Amino acid sequence: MKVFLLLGLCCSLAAFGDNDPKEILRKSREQAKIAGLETKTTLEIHDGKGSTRIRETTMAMRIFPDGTEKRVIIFLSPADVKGTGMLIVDNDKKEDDMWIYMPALRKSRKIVASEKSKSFMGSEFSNSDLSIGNLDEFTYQLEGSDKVGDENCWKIQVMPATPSIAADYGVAYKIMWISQKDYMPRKTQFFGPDGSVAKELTFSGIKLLDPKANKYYITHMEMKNLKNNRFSVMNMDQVSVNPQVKEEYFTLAFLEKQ
Amino acid sequence: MSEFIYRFRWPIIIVSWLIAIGFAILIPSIEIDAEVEALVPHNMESKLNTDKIEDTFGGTDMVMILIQSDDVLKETTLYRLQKIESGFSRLPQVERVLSLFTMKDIRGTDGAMLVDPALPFIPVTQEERDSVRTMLSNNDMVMHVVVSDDFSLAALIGIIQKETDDRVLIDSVNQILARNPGPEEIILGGFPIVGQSITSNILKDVKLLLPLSILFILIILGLSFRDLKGVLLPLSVVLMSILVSLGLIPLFGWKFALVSVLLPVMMVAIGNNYGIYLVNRYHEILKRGPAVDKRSLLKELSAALTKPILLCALTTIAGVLALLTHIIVPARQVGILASIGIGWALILSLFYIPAFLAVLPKSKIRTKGNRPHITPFEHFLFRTGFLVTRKPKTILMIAGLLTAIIGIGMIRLTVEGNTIKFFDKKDPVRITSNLIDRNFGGSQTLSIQFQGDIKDPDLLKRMDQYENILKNQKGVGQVMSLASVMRLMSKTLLDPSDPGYNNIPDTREGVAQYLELYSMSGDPEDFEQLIDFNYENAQLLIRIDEASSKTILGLVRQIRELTREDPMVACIGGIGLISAEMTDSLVTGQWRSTFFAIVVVCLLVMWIFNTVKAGLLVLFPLGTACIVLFGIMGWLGIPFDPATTLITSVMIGCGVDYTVQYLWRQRSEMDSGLSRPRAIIKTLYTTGQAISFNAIAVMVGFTPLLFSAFRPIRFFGMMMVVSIFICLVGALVIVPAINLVWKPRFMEKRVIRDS
Repeated sequence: MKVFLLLGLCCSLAAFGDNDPKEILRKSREQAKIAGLETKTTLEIHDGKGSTRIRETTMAMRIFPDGTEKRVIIFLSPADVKGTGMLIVDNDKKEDDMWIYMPALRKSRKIVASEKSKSFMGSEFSNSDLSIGNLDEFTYQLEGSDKVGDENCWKIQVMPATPSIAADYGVAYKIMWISQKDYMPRKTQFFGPDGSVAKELTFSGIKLLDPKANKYYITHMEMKNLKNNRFSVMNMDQVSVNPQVKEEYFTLAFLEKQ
Repeated sequence: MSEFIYRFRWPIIIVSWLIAIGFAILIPSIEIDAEVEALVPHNMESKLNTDKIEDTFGGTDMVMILIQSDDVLKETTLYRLQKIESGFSRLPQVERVLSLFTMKDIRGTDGAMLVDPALPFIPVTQEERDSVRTMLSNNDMVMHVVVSDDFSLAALIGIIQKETDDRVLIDSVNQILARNPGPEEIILGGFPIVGQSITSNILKDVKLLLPLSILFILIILGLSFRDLKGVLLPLSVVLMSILVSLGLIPLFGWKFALVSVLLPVMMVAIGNNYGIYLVNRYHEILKRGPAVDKRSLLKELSAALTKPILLCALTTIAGVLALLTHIIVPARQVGILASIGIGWALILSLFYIPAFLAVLPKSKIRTKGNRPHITPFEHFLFRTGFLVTRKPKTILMIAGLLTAIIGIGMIRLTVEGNTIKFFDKKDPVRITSNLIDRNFGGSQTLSIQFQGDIKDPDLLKRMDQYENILKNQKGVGQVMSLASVMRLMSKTLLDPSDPGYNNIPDTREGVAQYLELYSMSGDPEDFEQLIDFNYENAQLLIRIDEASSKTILGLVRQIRELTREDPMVACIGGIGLISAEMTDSLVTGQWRSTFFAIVVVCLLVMWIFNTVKAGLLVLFPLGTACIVLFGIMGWLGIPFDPATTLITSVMIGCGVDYTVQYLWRQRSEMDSGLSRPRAIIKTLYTTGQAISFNAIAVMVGFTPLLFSAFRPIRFFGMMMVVSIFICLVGALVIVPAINLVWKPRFMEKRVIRDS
């Protein structure tokens, strides 16, 4: 789910303090924060041996005045899971709330999961991979400039502040490449406890959604698990900004109507 | 031939040693293979199925690190376990680790589905400990899986990648343990650990048994001949043939397996036979005429012994080659290597020993006064011959009766192919295995692979039914399948009052949605052990907690019966099945190799003596020996196992020598004009002595096997001694008695017979 958090992760072009890594990431995060949007997404899960599962979903997201971010995701395909829906409430200060609706059971159920390193829809993406979480949970170090393709980037090492945070996020540390041009991420490497790269996330198809507010959106992400060669690709096929997404979308009743 | 040997005595000696050294250079490159899979042929059904299942669902081999204390939930114990787990899970050979720290607690409560780590935190106070204990006790995913019911044991179960080097892995594990010391006892278990124990015990066995065997042979040769030549010449033949047979292992690209331990000892025990015959006849010639010159001595030696020794070796090789019909791969290899080794020992005995005798000064023979010294043993053999010729029928009746009584034990024969049972009851390997079986559902697995539309609820209901039936069977520790995951999901998502609670969904959509939800609740890899990526294959995994071959075979029969009409069952496999199928094939291999050995040896004897009757005559002692051997095994509870199933072939190969040697000499004595009883008595105290020395040397040669670390090898040693003794009695008592009662014509003076 937090993929979508990441979509709203990068933001803002404040001109000062460019070389403070925490500030760079704060700006990146603000810049990607969009008040409301609707998307149609395709998630491809590859097992690295030639087999692929494809999941099509539609998603609506809105940030409410109290800072709570709500998302509703409905499966469009495959046929046997069509109509399965999830309602996620991203609380700023406490753990997320999540409900799932399964049409075969005609029942909604709240799901309480304390782990942040859980897989997203059985893919290589996980909540923690896609989010830097609370900025204060990490320490940052600018490791200089580096190129990703033709793009000049800041290379920032992000370290969990405590071992328990590291365990919670399932990562020893990560290195992020943030574009010096648009403050949007281009690549993230996730390091395992043994110091080797466990996963690599690449971003492309970065679009300027709202030139006035300077809001960006990432339409293509690819996560490679270097340990087992699995990889997952997420494509936002359709994106539309709508700060006034209907409030009723973010209710269990709406989920159960699908 | 003797002239050739005399002329080229030095080149023969030098070339013999050069060849031996050439093969010796190859020996250090021998690799040991202790895996159960190494015992069975690659085309064995259970092996092919297991490979197929492992290709789909990943390996099932695991290393278990057990921590034992009065309460594993103690803060310090859990911290230590966590540190060990952290190092263990980072090892490149470890695919994933199941532990208190990685398992989940998925449950439904207060209208919500909870997905938490099984161990939410490390408890500090007694209250916290009690609350964690209650939580864990209610979690079926951890109890009896990663923690024992009484909380005295916790396990870190590492699923190991295929093709892992066990030694490297175990060294790494030991390093992690050394870095994390503590008061709790740490126990290592799982097949790689067992394999490593087998490997190190094989090495220990070879280092102990071979020198011991050589020492025993030295003593027996020294006592028999009291002559340095009599000791060193057969011994050097043995050493050279061991070097050749062992050197062939890497040359053929083979590996040293558990039963290969028998090879060098077999070479010591059998390889000196021909040398003993030669030295014995050499002494006999010198006793008769101490002044004989070396050339004439060699000529007489060669003329008298070349043919019988050749025949002896051929029959032994034929017997041992019957191992080629065995299903156990290393047994076949031992058959080939031992045959080549024996063949080489024969060539050395016929060329190298006479060449050396030509080089060395003649031995001085002890005589009593002017007459050659008669040993007490010769006296004993003389008296035996006297007794046999007086009461042959009584002897045959007693032998028949004893054979029948002992033979009844055959109905108690058992079979054991489980490697754990190769260790003593008090061996750490066996203790650990029992501990795992009792507390963690066992370390051997059986798998049923299903193929088709895995989301089909009918299939899942059948899987559920199989799971429920199998769960209650003897020897089953745990059963896991997609059906249990479905039940778990239904319990967490539905209320007990809902009709689908604790049930498999009725629709394909229901199954698909449960699966989707489960894939979101854990690691994507959590699933891989039970279902493949495309939902086309599923596995029902059974862990065995009483890993005796009998239990597994019974279970496999039941599974086959249960799933006979299920069109979606693709195959049954697992290490447990390989082990069980190997056990089954041990019995087949035993009968097949025994049958072939007897047939081939009888045909050879028929050819040697040019009559069918001779073949029938050797059938008696061999048949008797087999019946008595199996009877004793039955009475003593010694099972057929990868080593003991080799006994009959080796015994037949060795034992028939004695009869052939005996018949050859008796016929020769009768040819020279002696009556049948006199010929028998003379044969007994002349060739009978050589046969006895030979048999005693073979028995003594096999005795060191009693000190092996492995029960099958010890049983082999014990039963080899018994069976060679039976063959000896057969050749020196039963065959002469049959001879007197039956009076076969082919033994009579050939001039008279021909007329």
